[in-house]
Amino acid sequence: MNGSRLRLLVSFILGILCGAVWMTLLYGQTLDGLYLERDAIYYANNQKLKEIQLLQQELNKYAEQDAHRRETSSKIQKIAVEVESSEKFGQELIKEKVEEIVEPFRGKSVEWVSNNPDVLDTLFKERTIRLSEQNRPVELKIELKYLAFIDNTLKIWVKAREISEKGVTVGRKRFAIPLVSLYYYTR
Amino acid sequence: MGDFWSTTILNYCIALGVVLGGSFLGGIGAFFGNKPPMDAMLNLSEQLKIWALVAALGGTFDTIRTFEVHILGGELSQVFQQLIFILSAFSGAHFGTLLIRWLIQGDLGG
Repeated sequence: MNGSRLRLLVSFILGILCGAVWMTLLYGQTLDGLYLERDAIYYANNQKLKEIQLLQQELNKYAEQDAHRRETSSKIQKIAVEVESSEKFGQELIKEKVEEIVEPFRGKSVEWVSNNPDVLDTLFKERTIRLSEQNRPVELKIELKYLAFIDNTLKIWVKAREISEKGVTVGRKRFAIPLVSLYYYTR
Repeated sequence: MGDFWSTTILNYCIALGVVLGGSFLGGIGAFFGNKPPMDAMLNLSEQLKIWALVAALGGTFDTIRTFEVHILGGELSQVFQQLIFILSAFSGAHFGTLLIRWLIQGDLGG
């Protein structure tokens, strides 16, 4: 590279530097303003982010509390049985027997039972109970009619009808059994 | 123009050039470094003032040694000359700083 070209190159570099200085002086103030604005925006953004994180934490806390409350409240704690029968007497005995049958469901999740009602239905399918009423054994067929959840209470309606033993006629009126229907009421 | 005055003016211009050049090029560097250029220039002009003084005098140690030699030798006029050099360098550096401040802030006040 000869001397004139080197001089040209150095002049070019100096020109660039002078131009850069000129541009800095020309647009420096605007740039400073923009930098200040950017800092203010960053600060505001950080503040908002902190606020969002705080709200998120609060939301999580409430969600946890709610989940805990749901967990404790969504267990079956009480079982109520309603019996439909032509017999006015002995219904309490039937209730006791039915409660014994559904006892394993106590403490189970309401959601699980409501999602799998066929378990209860199967439990009562072809189910017979034997009562010793007035010194005479009585055999009853139990069928599930309705099922409802009221808070932590599992309420079930069952139909009970007496069935005669083989070769023995029991002088009681028979009832037509409607189809078992399930009705869910969850709150 | 005698040697004394030429050195005085030279010191003044060197100090002024160090402050102005350092600040301007520092401003460009700040721009490429994603920093506010004018603010960087203002800070640099303050920071470079002392270094401009040192650069103009050619190193503080030499000046101090000259002081010692002339004071011990009883040549107080030489000491006075050195003081003038220091003052002229300081004036150049300070003028550079004022110039930058005026350019950026629009006034000469601190």
